[in-house]
Amino acid sequence: MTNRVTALALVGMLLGVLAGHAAAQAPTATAIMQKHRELHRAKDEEETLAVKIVDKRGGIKQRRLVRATLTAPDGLSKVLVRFVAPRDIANTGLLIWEARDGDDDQWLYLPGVKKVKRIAASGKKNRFLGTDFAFEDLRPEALAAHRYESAGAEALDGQDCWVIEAFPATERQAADSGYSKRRLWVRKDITQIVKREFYDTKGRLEKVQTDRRLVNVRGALWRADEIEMHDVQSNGRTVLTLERRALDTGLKDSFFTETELAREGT
Amino acid sequence: MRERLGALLAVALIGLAPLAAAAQDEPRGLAALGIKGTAIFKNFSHFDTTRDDPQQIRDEGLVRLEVGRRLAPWSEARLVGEVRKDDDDLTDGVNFQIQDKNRRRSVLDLKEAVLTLRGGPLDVALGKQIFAWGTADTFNPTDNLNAYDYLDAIDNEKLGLWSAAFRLTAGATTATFVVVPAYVPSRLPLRRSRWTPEIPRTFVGVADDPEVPGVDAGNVQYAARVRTTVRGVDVSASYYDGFEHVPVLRVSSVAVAPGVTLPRFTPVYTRVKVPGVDVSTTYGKFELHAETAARFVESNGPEDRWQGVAGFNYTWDAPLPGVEHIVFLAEYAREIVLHARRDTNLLPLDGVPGLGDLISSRIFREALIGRALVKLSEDTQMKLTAVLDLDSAPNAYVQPKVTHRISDAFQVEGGLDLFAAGEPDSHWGRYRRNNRVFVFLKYFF
Repeated sequence: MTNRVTALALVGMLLGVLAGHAAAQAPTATAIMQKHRELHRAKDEEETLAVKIVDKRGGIKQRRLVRATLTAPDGLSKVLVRFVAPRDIANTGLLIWEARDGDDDQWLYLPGVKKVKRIAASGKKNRFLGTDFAFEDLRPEALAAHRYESAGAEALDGQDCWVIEAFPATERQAADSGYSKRRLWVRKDITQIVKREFYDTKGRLEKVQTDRRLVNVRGALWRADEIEMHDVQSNGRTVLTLERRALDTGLKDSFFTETELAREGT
Repeated sequence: MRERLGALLAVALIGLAPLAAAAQDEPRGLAALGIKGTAIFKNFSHFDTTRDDPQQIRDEGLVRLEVGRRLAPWSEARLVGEVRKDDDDLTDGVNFQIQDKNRRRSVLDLKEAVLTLRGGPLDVALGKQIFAWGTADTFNPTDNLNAYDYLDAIDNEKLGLWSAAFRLTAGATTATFVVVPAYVPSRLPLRRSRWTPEIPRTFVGVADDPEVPGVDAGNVQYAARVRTTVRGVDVSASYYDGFEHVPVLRVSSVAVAPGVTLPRFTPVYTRVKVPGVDVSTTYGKFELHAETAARFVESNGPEDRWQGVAGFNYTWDAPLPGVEHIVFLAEYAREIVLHARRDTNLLPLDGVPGLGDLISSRIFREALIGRALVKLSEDTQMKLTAVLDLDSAPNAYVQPKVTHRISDAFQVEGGLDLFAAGEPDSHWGRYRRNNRVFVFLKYFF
């Protein structure tokens, strides 16, 4: 009897140690997000995307945009998005200079008046030119402006994922963002986000973003060639489909300026 | 003839609407060649005639084609051409002049033609260009390069300017230097237009043609701007050394008979030096901006002036069911005469008794500007703009407007231009007989 108790105690201790070891090895949600950002960062990148917007009645609109991104040595990015179609919004552009605290500089170019306008923080939660993406969805993940918490693990399409919840970490971010919370599914094998749920300021599920057709473009760097944003409240959808991608082509800092933003189509 | 032109253009545009969605799917026709087009039909229906302008309804048709080409990794070209016609004789023949002094529009016009060359941080743009400087929304004292087409004072547009622009970018700072070899004046309303002040029937005098500065080394114009962003604030300093685009009147006399002289008015253009500053930043949900410039007369001007405008944009998200957001704009504009030359024989356009104000940035001597843009959906929005002139007895201009996108390629826009209250000789009150409805149809192909 004594031996059995001793054996059970030893097994229990062993399991406890193993569990503790395993817990010590499990990365924190913040560490996962940092690793995600480091692994999937290119120095510069240019994509041409076909945008399909499907409204709740099934009506379809097509757009095309070019998105260029430059990541500086300090890890902060600059993004330039320009619509190339349809004609009525062609050359409309958005320039984002990421700030560590999430309080980015943003400018919009309106070709009708040939003017670059700075956008206020509240504009970041507005939808970008009729898509289901908000301006803030187009910027890189602002790690310093969010608090990340682990919400367990789940398999998604047969792939093990960490589930992470992201909350605004600063009053400014909470005021500027249209979201009270986001749930992120990060594939464990490649540390890539494959699904995002966006919760509105009242805590209701608003949108779901699903990244599909993942491709290994270089080393540990993965990208989705198709991204769908589904607004579950309005039942609208926007699907971004990659047409062209170029990495590390040597885009310069001078490309991400008012001059380039205001350059009209060739 | 007028009805025929208007109806033809409108029917043509409406007929094209069903084809619009299909046109977006894949490039065809001109689009396949990289040529983008816009066809616009405009109708203006005035409620009243005026003493000099009996025409109440005006139709305009315009087709604009633009093409851009990358010629080399370091070079690109862009051309924008227009064909336009109206039933109010605002167009006249075909003119391609670097120094465009025509009182009417050309039927066929090159709106922009720009060759851009790039080398490292330097960017050189040569050709007919349109610039837009300043951070304010409705009135930009630092935006002095381009002249305007004021044949319709409200539905005005910038005129392209043959120039060379050099831009140097270093980090967050861009320095721009522009040289303009040939001066282009603004195109003023025609003498019999409803936008031109009614000259008293008792007036007797001689009105000369404008003395437009010629193309020579002494009349070359320059402008420079340095813009940077520091800690979330955009700051620009600018300088313009050139001519005002709206004339002042030189008053002299002419002898018509022994002992009989008549006053003589000659429109001349003031050469000015205009240093300016503009700033823009955000604070919470507000975008804040301010812009100021001083206009120092170098020649042909009656007074040095200071102009300033400050305001904000505020976005109110989902304020009501069915409204995506409302963007509010409010601005206050002010102008102060710094120094008036009392010994001059030059008068500002509003300095002639009975003539009142003519087209001039001086409508912003003291003004409040407000705008509310109500976005109902991505396809439908309403805009209400109001300009309240406080310089004399309050008088105002109000424009409610609705824009609806029927498809990505076809849009309709309609609204009212209302000149509210005010004394008959106040800036906006003077146009009280110009109240009107307008409808624009736009087709993109």
